Amino acid sequence: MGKGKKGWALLLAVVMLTTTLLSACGSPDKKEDKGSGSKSGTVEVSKEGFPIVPEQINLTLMAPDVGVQNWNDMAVLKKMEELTNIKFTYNNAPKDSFDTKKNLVFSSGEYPDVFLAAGLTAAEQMNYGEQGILIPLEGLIDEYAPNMKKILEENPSIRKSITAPDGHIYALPVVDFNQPWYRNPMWYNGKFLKKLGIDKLPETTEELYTYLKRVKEEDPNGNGKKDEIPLSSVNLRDIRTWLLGAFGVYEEEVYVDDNQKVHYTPMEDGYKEYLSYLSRLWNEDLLDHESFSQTSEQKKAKAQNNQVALFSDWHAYMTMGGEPGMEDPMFVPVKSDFVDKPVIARNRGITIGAFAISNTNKYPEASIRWVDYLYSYDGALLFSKGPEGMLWKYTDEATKKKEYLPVENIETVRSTLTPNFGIAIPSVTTDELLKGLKTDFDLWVDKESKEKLLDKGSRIPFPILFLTSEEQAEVNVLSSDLNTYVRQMEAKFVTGAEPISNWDKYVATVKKMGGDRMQEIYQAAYDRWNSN
Amino acid sequence: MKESVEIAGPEGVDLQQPRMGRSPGKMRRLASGKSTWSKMLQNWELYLFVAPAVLYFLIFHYAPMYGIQIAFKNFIPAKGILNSEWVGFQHFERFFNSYYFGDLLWNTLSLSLYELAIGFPLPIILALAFNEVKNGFFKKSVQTVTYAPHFISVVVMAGMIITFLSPSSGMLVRLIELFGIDAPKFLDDPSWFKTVYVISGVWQNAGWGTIIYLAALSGVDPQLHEAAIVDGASRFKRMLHINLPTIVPTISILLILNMGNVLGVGYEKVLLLQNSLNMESSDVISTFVYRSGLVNAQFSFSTAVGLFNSVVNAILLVTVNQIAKRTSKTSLW
Repeated sequence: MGKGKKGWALLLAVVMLTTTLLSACGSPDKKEDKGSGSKSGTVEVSKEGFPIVPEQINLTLMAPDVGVQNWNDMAVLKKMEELTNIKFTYNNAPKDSFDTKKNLVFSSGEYPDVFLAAGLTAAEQMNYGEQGILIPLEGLIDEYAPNMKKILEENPSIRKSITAPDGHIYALPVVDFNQPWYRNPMWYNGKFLKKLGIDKLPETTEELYTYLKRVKEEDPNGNGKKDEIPLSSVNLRDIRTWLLGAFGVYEEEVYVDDNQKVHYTPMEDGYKEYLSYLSRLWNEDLLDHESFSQTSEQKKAKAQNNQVALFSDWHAYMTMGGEPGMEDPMFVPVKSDFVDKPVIARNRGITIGAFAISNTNKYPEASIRWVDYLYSYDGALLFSKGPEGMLWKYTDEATKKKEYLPVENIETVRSTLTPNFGIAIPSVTTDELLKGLKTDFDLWVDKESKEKLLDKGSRIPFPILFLTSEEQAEVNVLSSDLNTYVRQMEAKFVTGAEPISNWDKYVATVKKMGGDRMQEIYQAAYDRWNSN
Repeated sequence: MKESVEIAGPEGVDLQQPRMGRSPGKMRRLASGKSTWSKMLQNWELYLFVAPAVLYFLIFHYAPMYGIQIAFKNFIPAKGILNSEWVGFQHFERFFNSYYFGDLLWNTLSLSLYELAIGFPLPIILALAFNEVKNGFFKKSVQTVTYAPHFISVVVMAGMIITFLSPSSGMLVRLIELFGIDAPKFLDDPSWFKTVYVISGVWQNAGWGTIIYLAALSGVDPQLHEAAIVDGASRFKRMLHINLPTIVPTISILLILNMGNVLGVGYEKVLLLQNSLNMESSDVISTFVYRSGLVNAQFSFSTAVGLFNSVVNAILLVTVNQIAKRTSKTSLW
């Protein structure tokens, strides 16, 4: 019997040990004290100059990681740590799965102190702001963020776009009024244009069709096989906005027309015309038949095999391979008979949700001062091009004129220096920022954008605005089924699995699923936005 | 009488043997005679052995179940699971009224029944065949070849399927075209999705599935075979009348277990092979849960859908188990 008792004691001990261990891992209030040197959050934060805090403080940060360089080894971040005395621990997640990770983090109860480049949507800002997970920043901005404050004072429209309906600012944006692209542009394969003797790019949908048809039939890559793919896409997402414009539709989901009327795209006549056009391209094998199943790597492989005539990417060389070059011209928005001129969506100039502070952050003042540096000329330059002497140097510091140092593969090197590569890091882009640092290629791209997009009257399709919580909840419910249905039917109409003659039936279903309601909600929100 | 059992040996493990042999009547008497506690104390080593498994299930499978309540609540992270407000069956109603409810249910059911119909009998046939092969080297190499795909991760597997079936460069597509047949669009055509899913699943798992049957087959008494040979039974007849009946209990247990999983199509592979063209036949409950829960952060709604899924699975499991119990006397409990 004695032996038995001992056994029970042992068993009990094991159970208790396991449960205490587990609860220790699980409970958030037993977290290790984050500040290494400081005992509490009452550290003295200087209102200007560096360092921000006299003794080093530790904070955690969550951001999407493009996987080029460990953030701990980035020169820009090391420099920031030196300057500010704020040391970050990076809890990053890969860019591709970042949104999933972000949702989980918000529901886990354990938040990073700072969200950087997290792309917090208006819905997320309001939702988590109201719950108190994200703290209001407007008071902190007034006190500790002179650069951001100045930007907001000079641009009331920015303040309007980032203020939630409850009057708080929960996240800071990226400000860049120089970038006109709403989506990555489309580019023509210059070699094909030359071979087929095209001196004027297509300007109507018919001309575009004729050109793509010629690519298919006249073997411009000269390998004797008809293996050309005139237009290639991944899920149509990359080319949709550009082609919708030919039929008078600004954007793929919601846009406002010139008469302040809001449209829900999937029910529009222009969208129907777009579907018929793509369906025609599909039937004649002008639109890549793998468009719905391929990955962007597969698309790039085809382009590098010199098979693709028209595609979308940030820059043409990123798909075509090789060095940045000027031989692949940008797509000129085409128009159909349906409209008088093509409509072109323009970038909103600000990207919301680039920086936010969570309620577990013990040093919100220090955090906001850290990010405010990114909205200054020096900070933006540091994050954009790295510290002076690595990629660039001043030729005349007074006029802020700079030049590149003789470094090969500037973009590749840049991606190892700064996190500001492929993700939306808070910053403000001004003309003087890149003074002297624009390469011939950059200038050429600017010129292409200006002539082909800006000069043709591009505009913002729908302002950045917040819905009320009730509206947002309803939109969430409606759009989860609607989006699936719309994308599925788009694929079916384009590939001919569903004849375009069933359009009316499709519209009826969309309405039944709440398409009209979506339009109403966004109209109401837009009217509210417009009136104040 | 009772005493003799209890002193039978301090090595609790040995104790088990005589006890198993006792008639049910005696067992009952024993149980009523002594309190449960003291009997447990008697065999503490056994309980210690089983403790890690019990703890594992308690901690990782039962404890998290308290989170199921968010299916009936409007889960708000800041308020936590316990303090979020109750909304009753709202999320279930939304799912049942959803445009995709019918499609999802049909896709999930048909996909797993299809998988069961093809994927379940094949390992049995394969195991019976392996069992007939006597040559050591040949047998071993064939077995290894059929086991190997099991170790490929789902992501790599899906990548292989997409690459092999690509209309422009796919190896299998080229092969079919060699015979002058126009290859169907395996991944773009909704009617092909389920077949691609099931066949690739068979390729990956049939070999591995034979292991448990081979183990059961090793228990066949050689004397039965010898006797049958003397009686002039052919190899096929012996397989049919000796080998097969031996593994029937194993088959029925595995069938019951599989039935309990009918709505539990694993989402990874479906999700990885899904595209907007095959969506109408490839969207299953688990991918729907993934989309609404993890991608759109509607945790309560997706929990409700997941709970519905589990309840249907549980009902199926119990039903099939009952049927098996009545018809073949083999059952899980």
